[in-house]
Parts: sequence; C-alpha cells; structure tokens
Amino acid sequence: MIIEQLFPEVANLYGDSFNVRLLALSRPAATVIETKLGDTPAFALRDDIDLVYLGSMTENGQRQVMGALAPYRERLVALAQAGKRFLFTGNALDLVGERVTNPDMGYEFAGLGLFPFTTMLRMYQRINDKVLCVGDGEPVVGFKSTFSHRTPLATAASANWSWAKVVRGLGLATGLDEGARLGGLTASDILGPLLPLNPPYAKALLADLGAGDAPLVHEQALTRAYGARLAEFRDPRCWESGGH
Amino acid sequence: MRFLIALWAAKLAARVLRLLGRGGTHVPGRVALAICPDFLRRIDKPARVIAVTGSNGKTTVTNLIADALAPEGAISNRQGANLDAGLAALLASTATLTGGQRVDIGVFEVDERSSERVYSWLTPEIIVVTNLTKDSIRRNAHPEYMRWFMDQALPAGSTLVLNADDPVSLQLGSAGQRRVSYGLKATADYQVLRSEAGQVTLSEPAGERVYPLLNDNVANVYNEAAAIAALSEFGADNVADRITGLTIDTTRYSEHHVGQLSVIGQAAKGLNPMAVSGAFRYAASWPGRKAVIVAIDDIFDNSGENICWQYDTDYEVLADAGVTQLVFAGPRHLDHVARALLAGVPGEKMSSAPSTAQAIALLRTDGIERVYVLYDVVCYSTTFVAEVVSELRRKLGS
Repeated sequence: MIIEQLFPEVANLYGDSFNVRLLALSRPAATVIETKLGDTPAFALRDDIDLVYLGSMTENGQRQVMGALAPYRERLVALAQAGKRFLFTGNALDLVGERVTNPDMGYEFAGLGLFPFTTMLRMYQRINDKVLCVGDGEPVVGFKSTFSHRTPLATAASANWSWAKVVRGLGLATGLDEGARLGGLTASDILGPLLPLNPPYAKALLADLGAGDAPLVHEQALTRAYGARLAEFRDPRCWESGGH
Repeated sequence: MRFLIALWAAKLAARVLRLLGRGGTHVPGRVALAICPDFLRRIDKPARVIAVTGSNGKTTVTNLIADALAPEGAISNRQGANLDAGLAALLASTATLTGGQRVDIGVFEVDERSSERVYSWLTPEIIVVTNLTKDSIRRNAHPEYMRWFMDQALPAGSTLVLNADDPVSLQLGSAGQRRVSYGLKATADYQVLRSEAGQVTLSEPAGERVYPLLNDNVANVYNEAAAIAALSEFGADNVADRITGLTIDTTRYSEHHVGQLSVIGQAAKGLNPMAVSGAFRYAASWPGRKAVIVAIDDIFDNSGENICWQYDTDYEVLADAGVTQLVFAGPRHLDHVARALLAGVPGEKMSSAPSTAQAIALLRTDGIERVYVLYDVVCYSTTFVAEVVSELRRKLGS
C-alpha cells in the first residue's frame, strides 16, 4: 500500500498527520510518500498510489497549496472519478470548492472547482462546533473550528455529492449534509485526527484500499475512546453548552 | 454619572466579597462593566503601564515584573484575571471615589484575544509578547492568525519586547516601532548566554550581567529573561537586586517531599500543545526514575472537548524508559491513553481514570525517585498537587 501525504510541512495544523500515521502503523508494510511544496505530487507521476491525503492548513498555507495543486486539477479529477482514494480533511475542503475569498485579509483565489460551493473566510467569526454524522458505515464523530463560511447551499443541491448525513451538529454549511464526495475523493472539514477518532471508518478505509480487515494498531484503546465519544455526542446535554 | 455609579458599585462589590471571604477577582469588574460598558475607557490609568501578553508564560512574567516593581507600588492583575472584567476590577480597586488613579505603575497581563478591545483604551509604555504558539484551537486558531490579529491592534507608540527565538511573534510591530528582543539567539538584544549553577548570564545593550536563576525549567529561563528585558527597558534600576529572591508563582511550580520521594507540581495549560509538550519534556528530561500523573482536561467544557490538540502535542517523550509509570486523570482519559499508545508509550506502564481520586489511587511508589504532577491551572489547580502529596504521605506512612 502506498500513501501520499501532500505538503505535510504546511498541512498538518491540528495533528492531521496522525491520519496517515495510524494507517502506516496499522500496516507496517505501507509506504508513505511525503510530497513537499515545490515537488510534483506523486499522484501526478505514477498510477500506484493507493491514497492521497491532505490535512488542515493556515490561510497562507491554503494559498500555497492551491498554487501547488492547480496544475494537476485534471489529473486529480480523472483519478478521483476512476475511484482512486483521496482524503481531504479540515479546511482542505475549501480548496475543492469553486472559490475562496478572504475580505478581512484582502485576497481571493479560485478553487479546484470540483463541487458547487464557495467559501468566505471571516477572520473575526470563528465557527466552533462538532458533528455526528453517518455515511456508508458506522457513525463518524469529529470537531470543527473554522473561519470558513460557505455559501448557503440548498440541501437538495448538496445531497447529490455529500459524503455523509448529519445526525447532529454542523455539516458542510448549515444543512444536513457533511463533506463532499466525488468518486474516490472524500473531503470533510472535520479537523485533525479523523481516523484515530473513528476506528470503524479507518478500518473501512483500509479495507477499501485493499489492505484486508486485520485490526488497527491499538484498536481496542481507540475503540474505547470512540465509544465514549459516540455516547457523549448522542447525549443531548452535550449540545447545550459551548467550550473554550 | 453612570461611570461613578459603576465605580462605586465595583468598590462595594469588592468589599462585600472580602467580608464574605470569597474569591472572584473579576466580579467587581463585571459589575462595573454591566453598569458602564465604557468603564475602562473612562477610568484613570496608572501613568506608566507594562502589558504582558502571549500564548505561554504571561502570568509568570507579569508576576515577576510586578514583584520587581513592588517597591514603587506597582499594581497588577496577578493570577491571570486578564480579561476586561479583571482589569476593570483592578483599576477600580486603586481608583479614588471620583475615578482618579492612586498608583503610578501598572503591570497588566492581557489576554492576547482581548488585544483589540484592551488597546483601544490603553497604550502601554511597554508590551511584552512572550511567544505566539499553538493554543486553544477554538479561540486562537493558529499562531500565524494570532500574529495577524494582534498586528491589527498593537499601539504603534508602545515599545515591544519580543522573544527572539519565536519566529512568529518576533514579526510583530509596525514600521518604525521600537522593538527589542530577548532569548538564546545571538541577535537578541538581551541574549541568554548561559544558565547554570543557580545563575543566568545575559548579554545586554549595557554589557554582560549575571542574575540569580529563578528556576531551571527552560520555559522559566525565557520568562525570567523577558522580565529582565522589560524591567531594563522600563528604566528600573538595579534589576539584579530586584530579581533576587523572587520565586516562580507556586500556582505554576512547586516542590514537595514525601519521605525520600520528591513531588514536583508543574502547571501544563490544557488545550495548549506547546505548554503541555513543554511540561511533558520537563518531566521526561529529568534523568532518574519517575512517575508522571497528568490532569489537563477542560472539566468546564460539557460540550465534548475538542481533543485534536492532543495529536499536536509531544506525547512521544513520555515513552522514555525513565518514565516508569504514567497516569491520566480526567474525563478525556481514554483519549490520552489512545494518543500515548500511538506515541509508542508501552500500555503496561499506563493507567487512567475519569476522576482525580481514582487516578491518584493508581499511583505506585515502588522503584521511583520522583513524581511529576502535571495539571491545568484553571481546571485542576494546585489542589490536585496537594491531593497527590496527601495520598503519597498516606501510602508511605510519612
């Protein structure tokens, strides 16, 4: 199994690299390619990459990463549509929309345009929330802290391409859908260690990558923590007050 | 008139709290701000103010500077009452009944997220920025964002005292603004040359100077250097004499002895990867055999604490063989254990429990020389350290 982690020097803002690390620790034979800014992405050069991962970044990082990915847009779309797995988390989601604008910092740029939404970064209006959602398998739990305010999307519009249905919490915009999916590409603005926090989803992803259904590393401990969080998120009291 | 009513109400509230023997240093300030929202703009301030802000170390630096300027009667919002209400309470406490100010020097800890509001009514003579590192994901996003945010707010007339070793905060300030730096880097205006044998030596604009080393934790060496730089820039005389005898606030660091066992209490600000990583490294770096007990969860957050910060924190150092036992306490104990396992910490030396009492009971004393108690100041406080010491005394019968 070969995993490409895109631009870890700027796209590992909230512990996102542990998504790749969990997979690599679980399958010690896996190869991890770390592609740096300035390098040509491996997915553009070879066909044997099993998973391409991109994590959270700063606003400046978004601009750098967009500049690095834009030349390979057509290749990325073709691979995703053919079922190649891509996983984008945190504000990497912004980049697959049509446009990112940041009036507070005074810039805007075009996204990859894979999905019909735009993002406005509001630097004085941070959104903090969490989400409990259900896609193809077991429920997924996660956290959101973002400046990204997306264009209001009619539920029906995003329902065609969303990744999961929101059970509770904040989805892609304010609707009932979480994340985006195009062929093998999944993008969700759930922050940081999505896979360690969701061992069932991590196992399903590994199986999908052809890595069999052997256990995850430290699966028991990860599953205990996941179970506790799932129970907490299902408790209405958890949604009554804010945190720090 | 509304301002005076607010001032009198704040003074009355402070007196009532004192009579009741209650804490709540910010409560009189809340009263004042509720009555007069622009109370802070209207009230007289000390003629000379040093502000201390940044992600880590601001309470320690504030207290060191305030203690060093105590002979001049400096006032300070000690213990981190660093939001509007804390500052309002402090200024009300030293104001005359007509709103005049009785003190000449103020040393104010300022929450960095309050920069926009605070510096709209206050232009400090000096602003110390200890560092801008990763902190609460919810409040502070990331260091680059905080630099941008603070740069919108810092008054151009203030002298900035910046950490030469922090590339993010070192960029703060506008063109033409006076900026001085401290730290280990050779370019620092106040460069730490060495810290050993109870002394710290700095190369300063006025030459090489030796000060007593207040604490051997590298974070506190930085804190001390920040205080020395700020005091020197402020024009304080005999800075070495002023520093001599000062101590790091016991809410941040303490040492205890239970028989032959040493117990070190070290604050570790939860939600803050840099602060917790620093505390982990401090404990792990001590060369002997030690147990580490950790209580850093946000127990006031009933909404499901965002624990992504754990994956940005250096749990890997806890895999060191010298850490023979690792105990996590708090509602997120299962998350800590999972994270530590992924860091390579052997499961057999780890245990955890949701409550502090249960976790403390798991501590073993066999074969160790030290116990490090790492705690969040706000959520657990030194009470947790005292509980650990008490339980160890019971176990060891001393």
